[in-house]
Amino acid sequence: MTEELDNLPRFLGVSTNGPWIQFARRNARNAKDQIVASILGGASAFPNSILLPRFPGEPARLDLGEKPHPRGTGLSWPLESIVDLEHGAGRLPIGLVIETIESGDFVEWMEADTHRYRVSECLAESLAQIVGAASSSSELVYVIPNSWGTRLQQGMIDAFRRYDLKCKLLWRPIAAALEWLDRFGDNLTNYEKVKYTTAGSLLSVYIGYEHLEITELELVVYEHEDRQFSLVPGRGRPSKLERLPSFGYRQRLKYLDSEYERTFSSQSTELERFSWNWNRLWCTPLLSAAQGSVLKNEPIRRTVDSKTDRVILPLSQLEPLDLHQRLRQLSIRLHREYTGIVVSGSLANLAFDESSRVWDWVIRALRVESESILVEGTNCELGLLAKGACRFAELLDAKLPTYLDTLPQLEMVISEGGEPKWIELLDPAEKWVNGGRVWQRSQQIQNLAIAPNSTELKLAIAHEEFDTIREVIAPLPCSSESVEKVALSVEILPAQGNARIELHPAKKALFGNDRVYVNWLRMSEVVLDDGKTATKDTYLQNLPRIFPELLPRLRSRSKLQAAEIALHRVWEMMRQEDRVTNVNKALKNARNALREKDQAMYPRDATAFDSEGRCEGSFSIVDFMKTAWPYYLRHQPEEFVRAIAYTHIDHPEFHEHIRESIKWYAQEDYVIAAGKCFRDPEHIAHFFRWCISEQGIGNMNVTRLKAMSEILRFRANATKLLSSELCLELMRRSCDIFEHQRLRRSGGERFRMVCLVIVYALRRRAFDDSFLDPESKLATRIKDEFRKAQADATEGTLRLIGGAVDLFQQLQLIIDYVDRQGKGQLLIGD
Amino acid sequence: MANLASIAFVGCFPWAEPSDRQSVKNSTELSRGCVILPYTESDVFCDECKDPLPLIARWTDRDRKSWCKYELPTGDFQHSQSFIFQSEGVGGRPFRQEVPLGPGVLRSFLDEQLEDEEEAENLPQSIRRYSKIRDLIDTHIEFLNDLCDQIRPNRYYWEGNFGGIAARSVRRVASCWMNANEHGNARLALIVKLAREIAQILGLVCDGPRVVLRRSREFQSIAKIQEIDPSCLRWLARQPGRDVYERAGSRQQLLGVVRREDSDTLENRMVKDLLHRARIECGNYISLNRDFSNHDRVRVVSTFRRHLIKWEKHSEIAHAKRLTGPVQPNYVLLHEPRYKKLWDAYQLLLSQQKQKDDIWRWKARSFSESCEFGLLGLLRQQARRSLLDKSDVLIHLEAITGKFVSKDTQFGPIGHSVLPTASELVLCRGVHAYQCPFIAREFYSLAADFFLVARMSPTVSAVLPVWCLIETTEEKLIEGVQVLERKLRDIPRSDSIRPLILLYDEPGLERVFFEGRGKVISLEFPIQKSIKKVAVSALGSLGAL
Repeated sequence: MTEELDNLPRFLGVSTNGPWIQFARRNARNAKDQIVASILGGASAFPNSILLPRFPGEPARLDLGEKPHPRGTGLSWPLESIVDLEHGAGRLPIGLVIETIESGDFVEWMEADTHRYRVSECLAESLAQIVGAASSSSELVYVIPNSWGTRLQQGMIDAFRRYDLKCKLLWRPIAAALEWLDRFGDNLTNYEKVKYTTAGSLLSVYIGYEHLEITELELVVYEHEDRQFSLVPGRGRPSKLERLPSFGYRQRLKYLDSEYERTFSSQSTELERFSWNWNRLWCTPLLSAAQGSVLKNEPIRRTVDSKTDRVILPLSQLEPLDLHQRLRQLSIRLHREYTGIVVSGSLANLAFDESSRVWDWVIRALRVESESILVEGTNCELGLLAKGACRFAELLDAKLPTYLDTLPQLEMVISEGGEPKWIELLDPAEKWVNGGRVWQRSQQIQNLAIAPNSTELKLAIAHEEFDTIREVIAPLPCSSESVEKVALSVEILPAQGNARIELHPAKKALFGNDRVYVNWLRMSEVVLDDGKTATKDTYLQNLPRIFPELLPRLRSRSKLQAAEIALHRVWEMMRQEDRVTNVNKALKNARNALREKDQAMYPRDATAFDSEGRCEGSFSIVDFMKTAWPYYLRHQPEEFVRAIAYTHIDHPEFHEHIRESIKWYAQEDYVIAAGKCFRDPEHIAHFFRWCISEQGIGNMNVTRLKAMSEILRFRANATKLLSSELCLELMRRSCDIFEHQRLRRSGGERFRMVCLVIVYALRRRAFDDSFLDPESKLATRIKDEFRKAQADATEGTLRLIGGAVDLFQQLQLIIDYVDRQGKGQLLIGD
Repeated sequence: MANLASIAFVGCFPWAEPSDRQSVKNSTELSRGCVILPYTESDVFCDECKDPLPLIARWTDRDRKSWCKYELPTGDFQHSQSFIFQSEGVGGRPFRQEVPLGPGVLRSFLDEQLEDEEEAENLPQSIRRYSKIRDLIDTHIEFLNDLCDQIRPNRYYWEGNFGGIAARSVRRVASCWMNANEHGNARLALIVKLAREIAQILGLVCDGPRVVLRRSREFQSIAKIQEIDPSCLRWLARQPGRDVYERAGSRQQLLGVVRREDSDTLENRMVKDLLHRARIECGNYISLNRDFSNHDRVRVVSTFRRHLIKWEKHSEIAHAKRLTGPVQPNYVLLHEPRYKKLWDAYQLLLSQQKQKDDIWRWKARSFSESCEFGLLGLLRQQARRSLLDKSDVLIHLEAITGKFVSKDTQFGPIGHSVLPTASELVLCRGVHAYQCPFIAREFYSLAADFFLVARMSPTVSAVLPVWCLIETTEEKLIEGVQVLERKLRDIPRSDSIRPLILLYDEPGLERVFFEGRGKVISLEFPIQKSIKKVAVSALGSLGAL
């Protein structure tokens, strides 16, 4: 026995990267008091394995030493030793643990009965037996791959917790980096002493039997409380590209295949070959003997792995030749020179047949260089990752800086002003957060509401680990008969599982003494009404709304070409102070080009300029106005206002001019311009007041209805300064017009515009949540009118003129919005 | 072989088959009785034991008929019979049949007989023979109880208890078994603990047992009568005479109520039974450890036994009646401090004795289990650090049909270091023979207790089937061996078979058979010493291959 864990130290670094479990601890008996690493069972033994329970109540246990336990050895007797595709294996080699956890965390073994085990729990249970007696006083730090998300982290943490093990998780590259810093950190003194500046970069290369992990880390300046500075590794967000399949197991399997063919006749079955391979690989010291043995630096001929081989190993189709190419591709993303390189992994120090080492081959393929390279097994003893983990625990305990981390992307939907939107739950103001220490969101997320009589609060979460939206639930200890406002506080311990989201009710006594947290275990995938899963966009679209989303006009590149020519012509004529009649003609041409809609983008409404006054090309309307506006002031060409209105320009002087021109005798051009260009809520309020009080909406022509509908659907703050009373009056009068149009069986533009005014006037709810109660008299009247219109549309007596939308559905959508249950966009615009 | 209702066949040896057609007329013909029934999934029960009969073999014969072989317990007398039954026999119909059981003796009777060591010398030979078997069985039980009590896991050899099963590594089981006889002292048995813990309390209780005042009607002189009840009045009314004096008759006595102290209570009956059982157990212990009579533990038990005899004869407890049926504890037994301790001790003793009684019916199976441990020990001595070494021995906390080791226990192979010619040595338990790929199907019906297979190559292997017999005679053995030889010759590659029959304490019956390839070996108590004979002859014969 090469190691003794009987007198457990306070901190223990544990790594299961590779076929053996590596432990590291500070050796108090050592004169230098160093952290020493050891390989469980001894490096010359067969690979460590977990024996899966065979009987109810039997624990998962580690198998180590010189000879294995019969279970899952691949022999034909005893029965528990049989390994095949049908029954699985009663042995889970440590070399497969990480891969198995990543691919679902479950393993099945059929022996008399089918057993299904959670791998993380089996690992934790086995480790608990090894460190069990002293675990109450010891803390484990377990090394995890850099790509593990919060779900896997939480699963691992929960598993350790279940077996009363105090455990923290640490990223694999960070564990390696901490060892590198311990070796070379003192040499780095020449850096700018400013907090969080980058003083260099470190490349962590993990070369395991199963995969390679190449991670760039930053060396970041950290400022202590006593204004001392030191360097710590900083970890960015992981990328899928940094992980590549390795060739270690494939090489071993190929070697075994050839040995099998030499030893046995070719009459043996595939199952016999598989069992033999399994036995030799996982139950003999074959991988151990490989320390210092020879690997082939040549492509493997066999490109199709048998199904049974895939049970033995997480084999990839990748061959060393491919790997070399992929490393070359990866090198494009990397720097040429690094402050340091740290190489870890069981395969790192093995030799190829031409005597070059694997780590050297990988570094050369990556075309990276450094003066300070630390290689596990070469200039550093085996167990580098475990040592790094142990060092992390000690630094953390001594309240010294450990590493800097970045938080995962986690978003949730909130309703801001009635408008649902995604917000970052873990949105740090700073780039870095302290590894190993709790990060807390500076501000609580306010204004969430619990519906009356609810027993749980559901939150929609966009999690970076999932492509689709998930729903999490916070079970409430009690329900309330009224709507209850709650706020959320968010905190997370980097790399230690899920964020803790706590509910804080506005009424402090609502939950009594209970603290209510979001339960991540009850996270489920959101399925939309159409049975499909939801993305961030589709989720928002399918969220019931109290008012419709804005429907801005889009810009069209194809329509800009003609408009741009026309505008340039106008511009040129104005520069040359051409005659007004000529300019008017040119403006008329420009107006026609600007108002023309791009039918290719139907049903979306797209013109040369969008409703924000932007276009796709290089044409600058602002520069144009520098010439055009003075010309207009001097010559007052009559086509100018209308033509410019179609650019939806944001020009304060132009807006002010329109505002002043909106009088009882206002020309139609100014009304059109107001509808397209007004942005200022003050201007908008003025316009609406004029429309209703000065003229009376009952007499309003289509132009004014269209102008109002455009303002309401283009501008988010259109209803900000419109009083609710004014909006109600607007809706009342619009309903009158709607009724009139319905009775006339007229589905023309006036009908369409009044529909738009009614539905977009509901956006007032963004500023007044109680606006137009669905059960109010007006709302009921509006809904009744629209239902009658639906009936007419069904009978065919009411048809929309122009467009090909389903009128019945569109009317229903308006009813749904009035009922605060709307989903999707109205398509009966112009 | 008896054909009972054309369904059940009773065989006198484990290797018996329906085709043998030898009739079994009575119990005395059975050496290790078994019953053979057509194959069904349903368990077979016997009136004599609570658990289903142990299935020792299942096979399909040349006529494609499937059979199951169940071992029968021994009876309590020289001639015993019992009913066996199946809820769903052949064709789904319930099956019930009377079968003869092997000769035996009631364990409690035996214990009584053997209790006094001096008198035991005068007992008949058959009883003294049972005494040796009792030593073997009791030693085996104590060994396994000790093994279950101690959990000593380490990083390489896990041990633990779960679901009524104690998992211990072969390494520890084998080494403990081999060393069990080398302690040179008396084992710390339950009776030793009881002798130390309850002797004083038992003395106090026997000297001053809890008594009750019991009302009884007795004739008393008129002057002494203090209490009468309606019954006494009715008696008085029936007497002739004009007044009380005339009715009192010539003796001048009337029926009256008196109150007397009585020690015949449930708790004192329990104490009386405890005294009896503890005395028997003391006798057992002293007999088993007769070689260590000066050992402190043996002396404690001897002293305790003397006290027990004295208390049984001379204390108030002697007046209590004997217990009839199981005890339903009353308030005193559960809560009175002195009686509670005795009640706990009584339950432990009862449980142990019940276990011994149960196992006693399956003496041959316990002997076979002991031999199995012996073989494990031998193999481990030859090859340390093998898959066998790390295999789990799953031990039931209570024996089932005479065996503690669970039928789920299977052993890993041993590497080639034991035999120069063999690449692998596999110990396969008899119940698993039909699952083991190294054992020819012709062996299945022979119901060997276990097999030792030496695998020279994937296709060539030598097989050493082992049968363990605890009660047989020379005449029966010769007859049985002849039958076995005939069967073994029918097995392909019979020249690679090395049959072995292990007898208990029958050195006169040792012999060779099967053209010198088979052996009958007698093992004496303690088996740890004599098992080496198996190493020399059996493993030697495999090595010769």
